[in-house]
Amino acid sequence: MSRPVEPPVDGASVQPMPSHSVSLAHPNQAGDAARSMLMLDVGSCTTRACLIDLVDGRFRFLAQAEVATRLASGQPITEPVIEAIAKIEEISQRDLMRDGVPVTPESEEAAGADLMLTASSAAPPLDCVLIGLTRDLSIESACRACAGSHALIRQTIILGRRAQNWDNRAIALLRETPPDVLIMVGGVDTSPTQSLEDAAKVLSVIYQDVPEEKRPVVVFAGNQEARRPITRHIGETFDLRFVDNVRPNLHTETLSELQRELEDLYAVEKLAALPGYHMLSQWCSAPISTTTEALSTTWRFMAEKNQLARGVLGLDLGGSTTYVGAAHGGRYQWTTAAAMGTSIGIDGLIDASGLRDIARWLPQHLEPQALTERLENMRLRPLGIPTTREDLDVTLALVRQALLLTIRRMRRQHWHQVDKQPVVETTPAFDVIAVRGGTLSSMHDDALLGLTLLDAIQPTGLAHVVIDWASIWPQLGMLARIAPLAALQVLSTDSLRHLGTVIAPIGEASDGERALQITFAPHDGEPREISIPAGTIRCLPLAAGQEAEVSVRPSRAFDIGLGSKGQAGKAKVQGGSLGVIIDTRGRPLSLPQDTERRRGKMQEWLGLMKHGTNV
Amino acid sequence: MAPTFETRFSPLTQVQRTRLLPEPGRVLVQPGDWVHPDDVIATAPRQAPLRIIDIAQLLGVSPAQAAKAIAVREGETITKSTALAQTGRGPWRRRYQSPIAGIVQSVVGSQIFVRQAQQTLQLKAYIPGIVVDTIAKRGATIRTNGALVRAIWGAGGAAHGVLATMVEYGHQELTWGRIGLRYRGTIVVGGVLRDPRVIHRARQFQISALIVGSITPEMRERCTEARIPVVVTEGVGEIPMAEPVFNLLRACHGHAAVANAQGGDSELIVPLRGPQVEMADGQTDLKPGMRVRLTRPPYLGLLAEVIRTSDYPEATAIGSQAKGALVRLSDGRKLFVPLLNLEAIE
Repeated sequence: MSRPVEPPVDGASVQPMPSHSVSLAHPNQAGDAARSMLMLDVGSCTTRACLIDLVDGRFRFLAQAEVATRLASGQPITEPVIEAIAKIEEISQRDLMRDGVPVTPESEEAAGADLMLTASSAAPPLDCVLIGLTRDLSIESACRACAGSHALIRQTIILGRRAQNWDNRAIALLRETPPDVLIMVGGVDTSPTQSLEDAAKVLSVIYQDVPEEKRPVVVFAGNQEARRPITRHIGETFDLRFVDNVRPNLHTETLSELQRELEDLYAVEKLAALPGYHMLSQWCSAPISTTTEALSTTWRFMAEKNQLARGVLGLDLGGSTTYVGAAHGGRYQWTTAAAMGTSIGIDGLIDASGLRDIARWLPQHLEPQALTERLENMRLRPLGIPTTREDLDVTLALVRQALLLTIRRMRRQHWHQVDKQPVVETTPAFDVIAVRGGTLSSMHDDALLGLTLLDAIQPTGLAHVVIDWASIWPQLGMLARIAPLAALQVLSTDSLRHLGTVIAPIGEASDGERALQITFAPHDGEPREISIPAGTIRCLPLAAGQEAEVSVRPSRAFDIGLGSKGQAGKAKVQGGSLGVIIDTRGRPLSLPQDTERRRGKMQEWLGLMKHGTNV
Repeated sequence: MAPTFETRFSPLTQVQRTRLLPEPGRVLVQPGDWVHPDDVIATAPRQAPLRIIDIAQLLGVSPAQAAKAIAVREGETITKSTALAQTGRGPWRRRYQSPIAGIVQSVVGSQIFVRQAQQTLQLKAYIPGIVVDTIAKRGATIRTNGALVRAIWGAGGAAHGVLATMVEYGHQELTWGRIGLRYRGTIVVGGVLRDPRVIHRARQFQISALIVGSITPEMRERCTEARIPVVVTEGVGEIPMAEPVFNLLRACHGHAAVANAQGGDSELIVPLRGPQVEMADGQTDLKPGMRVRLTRPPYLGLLAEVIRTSDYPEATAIGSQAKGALVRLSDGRKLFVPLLNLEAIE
């Protein structure tokens, strides 16, 4: 069985950073000397601020505040930041600003903070136009790359082999509302380049008289042979960037370079273009990072500091964007579903999955028309929060579908290639599953939250589930680069809400057949023998902070994440509000097709999450 | 400190709007000038349109043949009668004359790119009022007093006209039969919009804009494509227009108004004379006695009165914690509602 899951270690047992994590943390003098930190995350819907300070020699999370971002009407990004800091001042009874400007470093009168760090995802995604020669191959690959980045494809122009398919409408649109990025793809390496050259010439003509600052950035991710002629034709007209061909040959797909370039462009072209960005930059002690970049640091930090062999699967569910990252074995893989979330991103979610796939997660009947109206109103008023069970169920249906789709993207982009199997329909085993997002963090019903995550993520093997209850992981990612000790202490002490450890075998069996035989031995209690049938959920009580030894003997139909069915394993597990959750519903989870049966099952599973401890 | 929250309706406030050119240009007004919605306050040169003429497609020949037939060169000035391409000889000769005048920008393969004459972009005032500031080469800020309805959604751009309230109550459907020629140029006010024929008729009779409480989900796309401004004050479904908003619009029947239907920034302004008032910034303090609108199902669209506000988070009906207010609905029921699910309505 996998090595025991160990949630982030206590600050007292901090080990030096392993050498391979140098890229993560660059502790500098300012970071080492800092005693207090004011950290912000400016999202598209909500801006969050938090204050960290030394308390009895340890860094602690002291206060957090959140305000609506509201950038739609051209409001500078500094306004919600100031509003959030003012709230922190009110909560902490401490002056952090002077004349409306944050004070850094902390003054002798204990006003201000030594460090101010900001992460942001407040800018809309990159507006992209995709230009290719044929509808398949390269265009499909480029679409997949954009689907995993902060990028939305506004229009796809298929030129045909002779690059003749320009039309007046497309050209007028390209000139009147230039996109942020023109992505050119096409041709395998070593194929003829004439069509791409002609396309480049046309782009040059289209934008010749457009002011330079309004011209899009051109990212060329096509036939590498065309680089030189394309530079000749448009190198002086555009900010031209070359990345690896997304289809170097018919059988290979290379997306990472294009994705990396798009993420860099998002930070430079979109985030930096927000009103007030430069003022905010001046206030900060380090460059403003994208929220996803900061989060990736946090998750890599978690995996490296705790030497988790199977790593961390992180999920961030936002109102407009869903982001999934996996830090394992020194690698980091990620995908961003831009414009797919639980409020502003509802349209994208409906487009990607359809209303029916969202409705299947509802435990009660809701007419399609009524559901559509609800979703539309949630999109129009993205800051609202559910206050009735039915409303919460609709929100959680969106959560499940957004996470499910983004994990599916992750699987297609990374995991099935890594595992070198045909398309893998299960989530690989991770030691820790780290989840965040306003909707999830604020939920008080852990059983409902746990079931939602099990349904959406469908973890396999053994994984400890933690929630970013205070919504401070991005800020801690920023902090980890400058003051890793402070980040580690706050991360381990104050930022994790432990839901529990999930044991979820892969396999199929009829409901009621024996699936697992478990010996559960809490450190402070008597060992128990438990038999768990297939198709069910059970929770074994084990409070947060407590540990237990668990021996699992699966039946021949199930693999508990060790690579073969029937193989037994033993592990030390950590507790949480739900204890140890055993999910034998099988992977991938299949919901009953019959609506009534499905709803009945969902109610039954929720009941088991809440009361399934009597095993 | 009283919590602040969003306000969507001010019966009398100071409204200030800054109008900017997309490109640097010339500002035609000065501080102190009075302007009407249609007055041009700034101009800028607009990009000359670029048109493609595909000779291969027009002559029905291959691109290679078409490229050989092209008779114009880059940089050449052409008129409507200029022969762009020529094939064959003698009696078989075929010429293709340019349908437009301009300058040949480039010839790529069989496609000729022609740049037409430059145009001028005119920026209109949008609201009637006094110019309080100008921004060099970019535009001006205009101020007026009046009622302001910050709508939840809209599509179709800006328009102005006289308000024409077509329904008796805010929950009534705006039907196509009510829209006729006599309302040409007006801003029509209705309760619920669910029939696409309303939009068709409104365009047919050149109605300036439609203001409704709510639209059905399927109408969103139709409104987006309608090419007539549609402003939605409440949301999607069959939500009546909030009573104070509807009552004011009905009282202002016949008054001039301006509407801007632009996604989440949509609004309706009814310029009104009145005492000097302060500018609304979209936020207000929540106080007992205040009238609010609830914005989350199952109470979406209902009006209520604030009984008390909470300084600290309290438990909602499902147990989550949030700052909010105890409110009384019109049927007497009392509810604790999170601040994020409330909007000020007057």
